[in-house]
Amino acid sequence: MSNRERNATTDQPKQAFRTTPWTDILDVRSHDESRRNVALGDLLGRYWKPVYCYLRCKGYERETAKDLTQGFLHEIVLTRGLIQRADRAKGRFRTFLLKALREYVVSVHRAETAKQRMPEGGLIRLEGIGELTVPELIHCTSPREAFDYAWASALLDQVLTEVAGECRETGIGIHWDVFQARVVRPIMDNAKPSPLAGLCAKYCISSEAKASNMVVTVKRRFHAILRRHVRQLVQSDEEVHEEIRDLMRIFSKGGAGS
Amino acid sequence: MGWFNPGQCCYGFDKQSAQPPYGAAHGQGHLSGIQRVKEETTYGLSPKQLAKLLAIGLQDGDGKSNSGMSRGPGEMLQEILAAEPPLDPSAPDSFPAILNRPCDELLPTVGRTTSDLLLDSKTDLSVMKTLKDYYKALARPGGPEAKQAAVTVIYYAAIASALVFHAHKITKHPYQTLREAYAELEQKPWVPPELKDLFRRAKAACHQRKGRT
Repeated sequence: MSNRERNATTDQPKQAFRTTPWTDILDVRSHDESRRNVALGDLLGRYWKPVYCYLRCKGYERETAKDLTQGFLHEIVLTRGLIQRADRAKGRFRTFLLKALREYVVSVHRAETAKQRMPEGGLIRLEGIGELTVPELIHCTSPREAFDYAWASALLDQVLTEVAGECRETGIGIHWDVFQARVVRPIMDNAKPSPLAGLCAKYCISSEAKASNMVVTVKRRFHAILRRHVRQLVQSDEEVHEEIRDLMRIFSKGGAGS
Repeated sequence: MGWFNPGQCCYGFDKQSAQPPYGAAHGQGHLSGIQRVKEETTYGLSPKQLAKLLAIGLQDGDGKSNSGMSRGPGEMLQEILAAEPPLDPSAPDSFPAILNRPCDELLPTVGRTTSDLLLDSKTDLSVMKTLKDYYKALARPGGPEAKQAAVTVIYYAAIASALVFHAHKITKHPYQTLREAYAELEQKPWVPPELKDLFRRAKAACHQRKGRT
């Protein structure tokens, strides 16, 4: 158990309930309110963006896509049929969610129909959903690619945040700073990485070799945390690598903005 | 990236911060705790940038890809192309370790993938030579067949880049041999289109120089 999890268990018992998306789906039906709320928060937090991006790229206007996103997530929560159809033995959670979303879009008639299924004001308040713009380079792709894009982006955001947090909590915050300067920021900013010599001076690191080793240390954590997150979404250890490679293949194909 | 706000970095938080903002969105029992997009996020990056970030997760920190299962040459090739040349001297498969020298000529290329370097006309000739030498060393007999095939493609791609972009032959192979190699590589179904295009151009360059050594 990591320090984060240990602290979370002590300070916020609800966190110990979180396991996998499949568990979350079942937990939202739990009679335990705290378990239900944790599961809801997880599901919504993780998956509203890919759903919303899919719908926007499908051609739905912002407000309609917002209503349909809320309606779809509401269906996951309350529609027994959807939950019962979630067969863990048959494929990855990303694939299941996308299939369910496609089925939902086919079955729902109008945005007014989605609103009618929910109490006034909506059951689920999704802050930021109306403000989320779909990047132009994604808007030009297929709805499936938009879904996968938002999915991967959310996954990476979670992993990076967790890596940063873990580094801070285990006393290697400087390792994270060096890793960010050498690996993350250059990718995100399309820029050159900060020179090792400069980082050594800034953080009082005795040698460039040591700074390089710090990068390796954080890379290993990134690797482990990414695999752990992906493992929750697939059926076996062997599929973890396959899932990551699938996503890389999708995004390496090129297209708008690449 | 107009959405990036350094002042609201969610995972580049300052030393006083104990809780990343994303932690508040998950597992806290909030029905409305959705991460606001104004904080730093990978959302908005290009697909290629996402691929580069994911590629970090394919290597186990020492620059080795973690497969767990046997993979075809096409998949291994894609991984190599999407990743940066490994420069960490502590990693056993890094350029400095394999070539037994610092490889300082690669330092300006940090942050760029192998694919970027091979397909960019501005990549320095010394970088092409280093790529060629490194992948030649990796293609030693006895290794897994798929990996050998993949690194051999990169080896020939480095030679092709030097020919096409610098009109310079960085190998002792005669032009006729290279032309035949590129003709064969063009036919491989698992070689990506951008490399096939490079090989096509290199083949033409070799044809123009036939008769020379």
